[in-house]
Amino acid sequence: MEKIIRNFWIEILLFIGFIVISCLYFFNIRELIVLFFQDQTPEYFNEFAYQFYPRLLVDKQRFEADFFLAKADQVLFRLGFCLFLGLIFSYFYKQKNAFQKYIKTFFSLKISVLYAKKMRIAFVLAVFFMTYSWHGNLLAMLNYSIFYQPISFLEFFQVPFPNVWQIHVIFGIYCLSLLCILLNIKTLYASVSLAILFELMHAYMLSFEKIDHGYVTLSYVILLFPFFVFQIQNAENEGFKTWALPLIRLVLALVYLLSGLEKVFSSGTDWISADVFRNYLLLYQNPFGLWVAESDFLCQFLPICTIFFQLGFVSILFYRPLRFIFLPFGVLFHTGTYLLFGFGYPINAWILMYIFFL
Amino acid sequence: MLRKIVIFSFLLLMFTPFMLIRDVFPFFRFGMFAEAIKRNSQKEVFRISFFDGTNFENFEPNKIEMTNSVFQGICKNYHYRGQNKVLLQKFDQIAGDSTKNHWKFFKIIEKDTFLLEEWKK
Repeated sequence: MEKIIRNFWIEILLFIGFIVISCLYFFNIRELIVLFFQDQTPEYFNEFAYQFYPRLLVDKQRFEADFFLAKADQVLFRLGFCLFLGLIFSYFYKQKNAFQKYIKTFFSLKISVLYAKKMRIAFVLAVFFMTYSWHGNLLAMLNYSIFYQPISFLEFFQVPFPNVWQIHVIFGIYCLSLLCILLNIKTLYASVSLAILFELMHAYMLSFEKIDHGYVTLSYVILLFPFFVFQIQNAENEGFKTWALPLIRLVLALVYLLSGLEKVFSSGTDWISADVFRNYLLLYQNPFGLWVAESDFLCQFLPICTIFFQLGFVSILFYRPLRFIFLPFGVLFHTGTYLLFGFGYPINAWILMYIFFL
Repeated sequence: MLRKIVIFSFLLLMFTPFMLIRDVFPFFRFGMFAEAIKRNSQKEVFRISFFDGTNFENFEPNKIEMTNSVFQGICKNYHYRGQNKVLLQKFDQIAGDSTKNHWKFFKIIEKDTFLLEEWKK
């Protein structure tokens, strides 16, 4: 018993924390949520709710209290689910040597410097291809900067929307960073500056009350890219071991897994019903989507393929040849989303990030 | 050690939006298309028009280089926050044209058009 407590004290604390949160939720917070929709909650609770979930200001007028109660239950359920996964992982990592060895091997991928440098160049070109229009986009946003609603760190630090010259400078340094990485000059500093400026511009562009997921995978990889560059820079031999590349691959695969889990947790098996898929097609009214909506077979087949793809993508991390199935499938998936619903572009950042699986 | 911190914190941050059902920039929740929507779900479209001296003309967001999705998002949020008049005043400020002194804000659901707000300078 003493040994278990010594080995798993963090896990035990987390579990107790979850039990406390669950009790608090069922005996107090859940009732407060109901009162919130009757405008009977104390001011501190309202402030917390609007601060933590700014969308409530809009969604409170659109949906019933039951909708939000279901969401609140989901938050607790998801916390429990993730804690459960974490505890299982922790148990196996600490108790099973083979599993620990597998994880360590996974994060010690041996690659050649040449391959890493090629990947670095391909990534920089992909970033430039996907973001060269941001300069013009930011300048265009100046026309309606009156609607600027800063998000995240921009809100926290009360950062105003940049003026014309600030946009020129930010984008200029951003391009210079890309060029330095391409020409192998001060690559580490350049990749850090690239990550900061990318996230800054990304945040500006999402600060107009509209979240666009088009650059999510690019954003995640850019945040991890300096670690990959650092490892290439410090490679002493022609071949070197990297943990950054496997982490980038894991993150890209998890994005799909989380998208799939979101569907399973939000809608259960309803999501793969032909009716739900058809309703989405009818809602977005795209010509190709409306054509597909007429087919019972396609309305049943396509959502099943989507779930299979999103939940299964992560398998390419464990069995590499599967990438020959999942990567082309991914291209079809994103092209399909564009054709059926009109979202994104046929060539987008999600597809370009597949370079890390090649 | 750095490796463990980066891996653990990045994965934790990635799962945070999933657990909290909200974006935590630069980490995101992938909730689009996740809800099982019902057959009678109707798409709301918003429209703004102004009086140009002779008749009412629709405000075209692309004339100020605003994409339609951003325009619709802004209109939807201002409407549900009960800021219809503020929205029209802001578009009037952007237009910066004293002749456009009468603005209307509409919500269109299917074939039905609802006047949400009317504002005169």
